[in-house]
Amino acid sequence: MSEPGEIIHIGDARAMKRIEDHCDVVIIGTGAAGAPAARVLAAAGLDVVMLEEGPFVPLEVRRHDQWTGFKQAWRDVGFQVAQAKGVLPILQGRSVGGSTTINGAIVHRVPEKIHARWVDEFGWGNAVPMKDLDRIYDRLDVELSVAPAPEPARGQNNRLMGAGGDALGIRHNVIQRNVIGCRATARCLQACPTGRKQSMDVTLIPQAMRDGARLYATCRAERFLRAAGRVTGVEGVFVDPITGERGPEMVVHAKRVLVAASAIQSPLLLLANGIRGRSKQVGRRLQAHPGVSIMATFDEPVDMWFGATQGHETTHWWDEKMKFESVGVPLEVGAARLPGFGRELMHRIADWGHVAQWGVQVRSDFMGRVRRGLFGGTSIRYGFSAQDIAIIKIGLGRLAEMAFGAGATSLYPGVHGLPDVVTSIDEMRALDDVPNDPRLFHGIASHLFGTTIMGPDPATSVVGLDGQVHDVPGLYVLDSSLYPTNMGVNPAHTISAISWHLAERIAGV
Amino acid sequence: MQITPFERRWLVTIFDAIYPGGATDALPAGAGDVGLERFVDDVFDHAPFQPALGIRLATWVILLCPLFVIGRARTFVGLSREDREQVLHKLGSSRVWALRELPALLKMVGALGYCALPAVQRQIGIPLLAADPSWARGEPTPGADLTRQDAIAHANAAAALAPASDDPRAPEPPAAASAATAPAAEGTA
Repeated sequence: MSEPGEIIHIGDARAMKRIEDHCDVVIIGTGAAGAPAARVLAAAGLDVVMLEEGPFVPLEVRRHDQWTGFKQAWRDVGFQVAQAKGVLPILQGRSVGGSTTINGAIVHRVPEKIHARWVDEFGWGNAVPMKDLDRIYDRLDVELSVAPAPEPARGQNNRLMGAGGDALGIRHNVIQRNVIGCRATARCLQACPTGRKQSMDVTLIPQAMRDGARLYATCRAERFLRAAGRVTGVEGVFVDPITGERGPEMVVHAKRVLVAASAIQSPLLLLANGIRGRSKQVGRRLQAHPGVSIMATFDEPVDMWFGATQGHETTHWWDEKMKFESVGVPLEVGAARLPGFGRELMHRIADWGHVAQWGVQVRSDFMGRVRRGLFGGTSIRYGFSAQDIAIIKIGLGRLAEMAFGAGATSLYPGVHGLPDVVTSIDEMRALDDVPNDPRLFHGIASHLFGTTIMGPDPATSVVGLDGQVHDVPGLYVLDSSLYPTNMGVNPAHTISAISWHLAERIAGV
Repeated sequence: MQITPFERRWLVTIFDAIYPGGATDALPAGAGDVGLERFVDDVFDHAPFQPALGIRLATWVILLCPLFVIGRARTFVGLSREDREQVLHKLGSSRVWALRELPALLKMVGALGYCALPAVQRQIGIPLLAADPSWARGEPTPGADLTRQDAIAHANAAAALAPASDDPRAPEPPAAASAATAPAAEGTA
């Protein structure tokens, strides 16, 4: 029913009662995992159909305000949270391109120590060899135009973080990003309003479609079709992403079903289809990189609205489970992080041009859980562990040292129990007296892992080493739910590389 | 979830207490002066059930709490500007996490509306010339009615945006003018 390259939306399907399609492979999800799989399988000559719950967000409908970005491209309009001790926002995209449309475009390869753990402790063996990953990373670097944030587009928020690193004499670097010709609007965290981020919607997905893949957007996969002990397709429904109105049914018959819907949605889909596995690990072991930020004020202009959203980082303390990044945010997001209310707050907003923001993310050991919640929603249990908070406190102290080293005049630490405004590193030492209670810190979590882990033993893992769900022939999982641990670095590039690798095995190339 | 006209008015009053006008010469208009009622409706039109319920709950608690927080037997709406700020400060610094979160939630939501307005951003020197958000113009979310889209054509247009220079302040390449149509392009500095 569609021409080559055309993405079908609910608006096209409303007049129909049911849409049916047949293919070799149906891929659920079009983000960092789904798009590369489509790219590889379509290039190998397989007939590929992609299903995406969110809409396509073309450049001409993108705007400069974050609320519109939330509505267009974020899961739960940006309100998705996890609950444990307190509430932790969970950042996820929901559009064609998945979270790659709303991430900071940061590119990292999996650290060798992490890969070695997966190989040695979790039985990955030679399933995903590092040399294969390096070959695929190199290919992705080209296809996604990966390069360091160029100097003219870096912006002062990023440069000052570099100055802070210099002041402490630590190792730090400009971030490698998948962006061409960045216009430095510092608005990566919505679908890039100038179309420069090389997210999946403008790279691997159209490439897959040039090779014949088809894409149904605003289409939510709900039920696996089964025959003769195999999964043979998927049933779904078109859902209006704005109103929630349900449209026609969608049925895709396929030889293989590949789930690449994220570490939240993939296990939910399996659970909704009664797939718990012998290990009973579906939806369990949810891991992430929770983080917090400091804001710092400088006498000189920072102008956080100009520059790469995230253009500088340090992994100097990675072995201590910390990674630091600059985090440029628009005023409408950052204002809520400024301390105070009323007139005091308005003075700080008026001084926004002198505010910088940097964050610390933690390689957390917290293991959470995902399951279907009341009223059909999603229930995510995740938070900071006490050990995470201890690391966060050390990290905040180091960020403060970097900020004052770079010339900051004051900090907004954002910790209940500390003063709203801190003007010296000595004042920050009061952090030591703050209890390790997550509710005293304002954090977020991103980079989700581990809810359908991959391993050789069905008694301890959900998915086999070829990506196929144990005991469920024809059904595969490709995304970061497979990873037994978190990574300590931004995972999008690795999610793509591992999915690419598994897709090559499925295609037999 | 829909909000009643009363609740909408209370919520905008709370937003205005968080983001008041006239506190500084740079920002003469506060959240109560910029038509945030339409933003409130947009939030309740789009937010999932639980966060919408949370916003509603926070509104009611803040409305009714002054007696318990600052000993004034009035609703929040009936307080002076100074007393409203005092209520927010006391709740925001409460030892009880759930109470601290109430004004924090509304501060976050209010910022998404008030602080995104070009009129506000220009006042503090943000040079973007973006148009008002769709809610402020009474329009639906851009792209809400999308039908067939040609992914390959969009990708080709995006590729044509590649500049000759790394300098983001350099002029856009000619292809950008046709690829990135008015609303997105007008935001470029």
